Amino acid sequence: MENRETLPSPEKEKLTTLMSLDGHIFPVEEAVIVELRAIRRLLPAAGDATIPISQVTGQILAKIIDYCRKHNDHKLNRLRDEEISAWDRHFVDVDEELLFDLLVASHFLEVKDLFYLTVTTVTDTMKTKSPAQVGNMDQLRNLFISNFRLD
Amino acid sequence: MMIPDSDKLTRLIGVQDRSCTLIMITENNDLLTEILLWLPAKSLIRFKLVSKKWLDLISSHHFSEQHTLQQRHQRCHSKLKPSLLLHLAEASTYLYLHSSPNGEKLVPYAFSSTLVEPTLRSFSNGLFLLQCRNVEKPFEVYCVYNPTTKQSKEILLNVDDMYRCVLGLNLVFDPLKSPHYKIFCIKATPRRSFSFWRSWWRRCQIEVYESDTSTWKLCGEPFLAPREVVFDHGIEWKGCIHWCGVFFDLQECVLGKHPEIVIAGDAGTEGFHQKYVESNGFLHNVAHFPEKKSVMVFELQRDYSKWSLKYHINLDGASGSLSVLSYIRGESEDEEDSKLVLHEPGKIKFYALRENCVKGLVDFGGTGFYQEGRSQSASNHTFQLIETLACV
Repeated sequence: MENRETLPSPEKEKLTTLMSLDGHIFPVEEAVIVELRAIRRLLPAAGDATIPISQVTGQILAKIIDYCRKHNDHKLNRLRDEEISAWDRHFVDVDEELLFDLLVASHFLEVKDLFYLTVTTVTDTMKTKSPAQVGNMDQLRNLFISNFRLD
Repeated sequence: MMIPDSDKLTRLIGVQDRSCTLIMITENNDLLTEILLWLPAKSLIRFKLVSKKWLDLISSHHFSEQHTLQQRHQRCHSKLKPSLLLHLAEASTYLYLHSSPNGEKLVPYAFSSTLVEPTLRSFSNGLFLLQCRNVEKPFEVYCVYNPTTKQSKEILLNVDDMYRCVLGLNLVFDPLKSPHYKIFCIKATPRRSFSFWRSWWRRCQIEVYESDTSTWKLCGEPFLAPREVVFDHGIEWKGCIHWCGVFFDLQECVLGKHPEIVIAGDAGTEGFHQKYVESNGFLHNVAHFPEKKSVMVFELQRDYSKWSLKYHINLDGASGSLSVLSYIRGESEDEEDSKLVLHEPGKIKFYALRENCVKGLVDFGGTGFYQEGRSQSASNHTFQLIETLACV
């Protein structure tokens, strides 16, 4: 997890605590929660309690929080368009398994921009494959299993 | 602690940001469907072979509607560009302008083999309206055809005692408004009435075919149209069908007139060819002056008040039988990529308007489908080829 910039503010910024499937704790600021739309809806009911994200491991959750923070920086004009594009390209330049984990998690947490980024990366590789090669993509087949787990 | 089960909620979520408009349709879709919606139509046709589940999913009506809508949204933001299909007098087949790493190429285009001698009458968002020869009967057959899925559906025209001549057929399909398409048939009475202004008029009536009911209905009141208006190959733009000089409002079902083109100097006295082109959300009139070897590109103001001149270029280096096929408006705000697609016998040229030079050439003079010496009639047409899974 990267260090956050501590901005001077008259009152202490409210942090929400998230807990991953494997028990890692992540205190996150509001700017990040805004991006995790599935979590944002829970906020009024959650109060100060820790929100368990039972479908996402700590490794993936950390990366997603990282993504949200970076894109928040971009929104606040701390990063140029070319910089964020390059950062995004590097972010998805990972092995297939990790890419799919990010795709499933961003879909579940409703992080729209990240879902768009991961789904277009995945479909770009799919476009060049034959039907047989696509059929052999283990990650896609695993999606059938993971969807049942969501119930 | 409740975790929202996003798969069970039914909603349409739209998000706009600086880089894209993202529409996620979550209606008990599994994640696989969500991923497949992002693949282009051609890939999906291939992936029907992956498994039975994929075949059922991709072939379903519901999926094709969702996919067509999503692709339409992506086109709005220029993520997917249409390709061009050309009908040239000197080619024995329709030609497909194909972008490859080595540049643009022209390849022959084949319709489905079940169609006999197809002629493209109209196109709209990936669907074609074709006129084919009927081997059993002496008259033509019309069908709506999806060039990506090769599906076709025969359409029977309405037979009317009074309005017996078909002046034009126009297909209108906009997935943003409806998954169903419409066909507008402009018909006229066979006898021309002679008004006291000594101009020839035709008494016309428009009929509309709606694909959800498979029926024809009258559309608007009968009207008089000047004889010289050609009601074929109309361009759909802003809820109207546009032909040279007139347009038909599809909502109000009334005919309107375009403003006059104002051409400065003595250029207005000689003959010129006009072509209406829709590109990137704007309607243009591309006027070609063959004797002066110049081309003017006008843009219609959105309130229909006037045509504004955008470009006026001279093509002195061109040979005599040059014609303008199309205009492609640049996507960026300053339109720096705007170009004209020009045609000379055996060649297609791309003229970059901002740089005032030819940037790109396709020479098909040596190919098997080029027939040198065929008369250069005015029947060169350009169509847009868009991939779609839309059902016909």
